[in-house]
Amino acid sequence: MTDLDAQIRAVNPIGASDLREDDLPLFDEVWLAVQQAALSARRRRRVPFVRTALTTPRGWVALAGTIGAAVVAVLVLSAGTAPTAAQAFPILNKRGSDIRSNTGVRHALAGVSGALATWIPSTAALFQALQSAHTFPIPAGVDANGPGIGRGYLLESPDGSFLCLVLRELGAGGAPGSLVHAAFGPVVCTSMADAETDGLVAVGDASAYETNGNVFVALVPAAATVTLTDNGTATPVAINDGIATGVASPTATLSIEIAGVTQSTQLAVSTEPWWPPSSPATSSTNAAGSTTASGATAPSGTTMTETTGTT
Amino acid sequence: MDEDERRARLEALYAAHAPEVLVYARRRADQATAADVLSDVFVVAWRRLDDVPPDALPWLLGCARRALLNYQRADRRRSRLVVRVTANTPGTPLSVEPREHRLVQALAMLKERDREVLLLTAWEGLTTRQAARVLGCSPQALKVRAHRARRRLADALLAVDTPTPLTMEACND
Repeated sequence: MTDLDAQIRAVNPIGASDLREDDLPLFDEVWLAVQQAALSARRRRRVPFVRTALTTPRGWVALAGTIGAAVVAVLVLSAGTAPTAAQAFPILNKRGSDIRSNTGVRHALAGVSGALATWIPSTAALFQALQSAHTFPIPAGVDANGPGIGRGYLLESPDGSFLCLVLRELGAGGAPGSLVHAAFGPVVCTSMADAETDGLVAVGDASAYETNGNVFVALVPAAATVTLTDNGTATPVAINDGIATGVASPTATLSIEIAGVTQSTQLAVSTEPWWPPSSPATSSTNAAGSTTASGATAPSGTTMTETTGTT
Repeated sequence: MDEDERRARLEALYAAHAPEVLVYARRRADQATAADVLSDVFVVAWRRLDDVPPDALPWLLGCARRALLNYQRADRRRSRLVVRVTANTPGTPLSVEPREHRLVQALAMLKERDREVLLLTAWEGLTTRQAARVLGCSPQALKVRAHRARRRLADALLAVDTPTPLTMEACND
């Protein structure tokens, strides 16, 4: 035996003597497996359905009839069925990753009332919800101060009827290093139904990151298109998992076209800081009937203007 | 051979070789997979009882090897020997010395067939003839393979010992 063989023997992880009595199954257990295998084999031999079906003309007719009925059933059942929320918003198929720090969560909760606060009653609950929220990258802070920055969250109410966009670490004045109070920036909420017809837009001031312009995040349903018009130039905005993000000047307009109807939003941020709130939270209903629950200082600062028409 | 005689023969085979088959599987897979492999082996043995030779162990280990390969194909993660060894299988606490660890790493770098050539003799204690039966080759071929496998293992040990050179990307980081 060579030295190498001796070394291999030495790294044998389990010797025969390491086997405990209860490690070895009783023969009866193996016998049962043998019997089951024999039974399965007999069953497989007894029911050669496909071979039977395809060897006789009547079998072909029966098979064709079965397939036809299945196709008709699928067509009937799928016709007129409303898409699920996850079909409308692909990001709902994703789960988020853990957030690194909960600093500022209490501020986000205090700054936003309305729908979000009713189904997330406490700071801890909000933190928990953010940990399992649907996350997406936002442009601001991509190069700033490490992981976790530059991410947004889409929160879904427990019954799936409400959505909130939460942008992280936006809207703060001062250096990125002092963002404790603005760990969570603009928060906008709307009902699932309204989001499907209008989309949902949040805008944050990214000046803290020395980003030239405001950060916008739009949640748009499947088949929608998003166009950014800035200084008279219209450019399409890429949509990833139903989320369109970018940086634009405050005078730019974001247009979301959904089923031939266009919603336009000017990407201006409120001049007031989103935190601390200066007045009680408000809830406003826009012309399309969608309700936007907003923070006390209109968290996103978004000015909603609506131009309806086909494009 | 009637049903009772067949069952008695299978039971005798089980009593004689089940521990060795189980240990063989446990050395290469986790506890649950090893138990499944053991069961699979004796299901095959029952089906092909007439083919089982008098020296049954190599035949049974050959079945176990094929069953393990099937499981490993289904779950590639289990195919890495080093992972299995460092995973510290419950009930078999392992203490791998650094010198031994590099050998385990080197073994993991070998192809399954090369590794088996070495392990069947070193770990399972099989003779060259028995190991050849497990692998389905002649004893002469096994000797040649064992020689090549040892050479490849020596190369792999060198590779384990050689530190990976820093890349430009690593420097930039």
